[in-house]
Amino acid sequence: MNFECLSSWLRGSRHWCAVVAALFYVSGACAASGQSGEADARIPDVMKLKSRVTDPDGILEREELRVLSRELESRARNRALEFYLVIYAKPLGRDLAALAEEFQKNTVPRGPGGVILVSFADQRVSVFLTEEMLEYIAKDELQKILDRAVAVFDPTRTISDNLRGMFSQLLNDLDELRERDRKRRQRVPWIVSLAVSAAFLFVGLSVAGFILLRKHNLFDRAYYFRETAVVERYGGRMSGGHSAEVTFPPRPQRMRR
Amino acid sequence: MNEKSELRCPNCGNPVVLRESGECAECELHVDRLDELAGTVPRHDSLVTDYQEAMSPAAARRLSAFLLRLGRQFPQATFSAFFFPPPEGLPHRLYAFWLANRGRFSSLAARGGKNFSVLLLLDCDRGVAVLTVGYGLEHFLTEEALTLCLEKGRSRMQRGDYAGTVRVVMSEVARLMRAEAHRENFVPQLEREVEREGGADEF
Repeated sequence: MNFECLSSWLRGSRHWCAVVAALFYVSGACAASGQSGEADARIPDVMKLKSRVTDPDGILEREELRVLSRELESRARNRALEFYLVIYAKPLGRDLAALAEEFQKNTVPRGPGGVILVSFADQRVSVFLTEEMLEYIAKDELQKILDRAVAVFDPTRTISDNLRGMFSQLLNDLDELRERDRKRRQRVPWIVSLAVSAAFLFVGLSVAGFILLRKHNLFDRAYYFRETAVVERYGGRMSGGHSAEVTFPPRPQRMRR
Repeated sequence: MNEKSELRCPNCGNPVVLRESGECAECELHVDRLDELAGTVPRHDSLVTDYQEAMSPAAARRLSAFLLRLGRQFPQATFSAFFFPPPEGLPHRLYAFWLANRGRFSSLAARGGKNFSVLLLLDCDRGVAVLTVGYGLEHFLTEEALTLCLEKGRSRMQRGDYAGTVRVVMSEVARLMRAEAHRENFVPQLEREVEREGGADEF
């Protein structure tokens, strides 16, 4: 594949990103030629991909294939991102998005990951992500990711390098999104506990304030007694000496303030 | 009125039996006789009087504010704490009785059944506390209830926290008074309302 073809493919892919983002795949603007609907021998009957990079038409050199495989393998190992890449050079008889979906369902049914399917013949790329990935990727976010991935293409580099750069960018962004989501989820219990604590604090302070207000009679509640008829005794006008007495240990002299 | 309350003479402790002159029939207790023993009334504040330096001036101010707030709940009543050693030979209970009558802690109009004053006499040096009430409250607070109020402050007395003692004792008295006032559910007719009603009658 020459660079002219690649650059036209890239220009087209920018145009189609917006359309495909909603459907979670991206495709290049091209004339869909040669899609007859017949079964293609290159597509396995059992839709499970056995290696990280599948290149049935031999576009990439063996060394390039190995480097790409290693790249995706290290992603899977270090970041737990299970991504598979399928590259076709010749036109396929099937819809690329449907094919990517089938690959994804059979190869990466669950967990973070997906399948990236590239068809050089009709210059289309389809990305199908798992449910787990879609949980934390907004539609507009996916569009931006794809734009950034395409932007890394450089005509002066080899196809393999460009592909690797694009997938690296794409996977880095997805990985970053996943990390952000993980951190956000980590913060949720803290936020909830803080909110609950704040609520309890608020209720506690309110109750304490109410008790204090009552204690200090700031509601101005007043109590009255009915005047009773008494016979004044022992010459006392105010009190009849009705009292109680208790004793306690006397204060030592040193305690005098 | 609590049926169990039985008024006794503060001197001899016998149930009240009076002569025509108002003296106790048993011990001839009369406040005029106590004047000779007690002498002149010490200068005092209506809320906290601390002759024994039982607390710091700041604590005394805080205690005064506390008693003032307590008094707002009972507009008829006054709450006073008096730290003073009675003269030698004069029992604390008698001195408290004399002080409550001569001390003018409440207004002059608050006489007889209109007097709702509460006086706590504390002698820190001899370790005696007396709680006495005016005529108006003796129907609501029995001697047992007053003793209970004093007992509530015993631990603080023993620790030497006299301001705390006054707070606890007076709070307990106020609690009992609130309960009694709730039971009585008496709402006095305000003077303005009486005047308004009187004015309306004229027209």
